[in-house]
Amino acid sequence: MIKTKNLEFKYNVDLDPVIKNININIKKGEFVAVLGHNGSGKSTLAKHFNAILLPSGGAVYIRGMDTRNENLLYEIRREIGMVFQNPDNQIVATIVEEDVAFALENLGVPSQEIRKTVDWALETVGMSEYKKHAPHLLSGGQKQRIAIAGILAMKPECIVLDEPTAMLDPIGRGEVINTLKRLNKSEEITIILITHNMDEAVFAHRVLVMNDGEIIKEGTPADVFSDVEGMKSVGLDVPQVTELMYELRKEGIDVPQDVLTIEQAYEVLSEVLC
Amino acid sequence: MIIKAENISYTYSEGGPFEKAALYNVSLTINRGDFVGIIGHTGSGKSTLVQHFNGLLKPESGRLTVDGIDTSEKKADLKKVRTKVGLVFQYPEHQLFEETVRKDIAFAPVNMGLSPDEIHDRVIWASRLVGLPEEILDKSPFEISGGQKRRAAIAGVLAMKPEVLVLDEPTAGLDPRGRDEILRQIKKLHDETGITVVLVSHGMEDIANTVNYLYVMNNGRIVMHGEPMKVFSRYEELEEMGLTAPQVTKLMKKLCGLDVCTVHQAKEYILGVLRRA
Ligand SMILES: Nc1ncnc2c1ncn2[C@@H]1O[C@H](COP(=O)(O)OP(=O)(O)OP(=O)(O)O)[C@@H](O)[C@H]1O
Ligand SMILES: Nc1ncnc2c1ncn2[C@@H]1O[C@H](COP(=O)(O)OP(=O)(O)O)[C@@H](O)[C@H]1O
Ligand SMILES: [Mg+2]
Ligand SMILES: [Mg+2]
Repeated sequence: MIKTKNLEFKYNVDLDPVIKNININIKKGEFVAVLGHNGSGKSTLAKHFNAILLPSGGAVYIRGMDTRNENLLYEIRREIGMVFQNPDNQIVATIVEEDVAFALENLGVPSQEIRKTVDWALETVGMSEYKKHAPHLLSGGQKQRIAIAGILAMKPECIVLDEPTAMLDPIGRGEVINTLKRLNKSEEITIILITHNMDEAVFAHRVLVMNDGEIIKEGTPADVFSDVEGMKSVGLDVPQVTELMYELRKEGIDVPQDVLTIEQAYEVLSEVLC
Repeated sequence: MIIKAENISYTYSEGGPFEKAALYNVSLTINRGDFVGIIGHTGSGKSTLVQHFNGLLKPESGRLTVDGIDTSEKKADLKKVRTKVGLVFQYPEHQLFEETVRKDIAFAPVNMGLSPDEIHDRVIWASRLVGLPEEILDKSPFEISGGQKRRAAIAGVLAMKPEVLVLDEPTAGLDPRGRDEILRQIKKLHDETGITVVLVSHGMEDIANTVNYLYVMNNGRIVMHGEPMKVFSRYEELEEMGLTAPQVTKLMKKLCGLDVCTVHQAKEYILGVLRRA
């Protein structure tokens, strides 16, 4: 689905590359989380997936299509939907449902179908009751959900989300993550999720860790988060329950390190304590 | 007491087609030196409430005073209120508009008429505190990463050295180390200088690790308040309001009905039980 070959990118020819030696291969239907410190190059990498940025060195292929080929731009952007960090820059209309319908209207989709798709997308992000509202008057978290609905409505092959939950409350976050999981599972949409929230990366099939412009580690969430010290050394973290296991192990208590959820921790600790 | 809200209500676009009541009869008192947290679902009115704290919004009914100044009064010295209360907005981009990050952070100190040396010192102090490297200071605020913008916005308000620091979701978009480090620095600043801090956050774990007192908002009202551990122990009620509690709170409650809110507390408890056994 997405393949990069020795990808390198410089914002300024005189400066060092902000990403380099990037060789990844994301398969159709995968759910990939991307972690990394501020400024490590996550957004820069993501912007290569739909040709907002073009490589300074190496190449990016979307289903075999080279992003440097201008003739393929339209097709590439249909394959890959993007949800950015700042929802304000993504809002285009003055009524929520029009905003969500915007791209579909531009594609000439019949209005009956637009209505159905828009209702579904708003329902999925839990914003149905706001469909007649003005998006710019909504609070931050509400806007973020509208932006996601707008992308969902396009039903792309792959959705790349750059910190989509940063502004949401815990339940809003859960709704978005559950939506992504559902889209991934039942619609086989490839999901690439950039996040600073370690609890969200736990649901991915694969986690990529970036540091100073390079991918320094990849693996299953259990693999990646088991290395508590390694994660902390690159400015990242692990879920609280993983940290608790790590702390207990340091005290010589025999508990597994690859515990990622409250449920797993409950099982382990009820055995230890009882 | 430095901030006192007495039965304040606020409605956006009153009388218009998009009229939206955002606060109903909210009362709270923040004492000098407090470290207060505010949590609530999106749209519950947190940002609306904190924008009253520096006079940006004025209550439609009720009374809000900042160090005795009633912000609704005609003669109220709002300039003074804004130097006392520094507000870091939810969206840092709204706060960054200068050519360079350095000028952005220096904006308030320059306006306050400080000497160039003092301005320089404050810029360096504030950018260190938020973990912004020197080389970023001469970049344009539009050419830095999301988390770097967030740090610059926080630094700009810190450089004012306000009496009350209000942070509206300051850690959204920060990497984990940046988040922990900035909160640790703010906590340290609080402990050393007695600055009053108000922290609005969706990060329950950040709140549990820092604040002394916690307010919970739901649909424009304050519905719970108390010590964080007490509030989080009622996580079932919080979940009904779109919130949650830290992972360890839920784990320990389920495991043994215990109220804890940090990893450290959970660990100490478990070790205690095992040692006794
Ligand atoms: N438009 C730009 N012009 C020049 N440099 C830029 C630009 N955007 C980002 N950078 C720099 O490139 C590097 C990588 O930035 P990027 O936005 O990809 O980081 P990120 O991993 O997404 O960070 P965050 O977690 O803060 O969002 C940073 O050093 C940043 O300052
Ligand atoms: N500028 C505005 N104009 C109209 N309504 C607004 C505006 N800002 C916020 N609101 C509405 O007021 C309510 C409270 O919003 P806000 O204070 O931003 O909540 P929070 O910060 O808790 O997410 C929400 O219903 C929101 O949609
Ligand atoms: Mg980014
Ligand atoms: Mg807000």
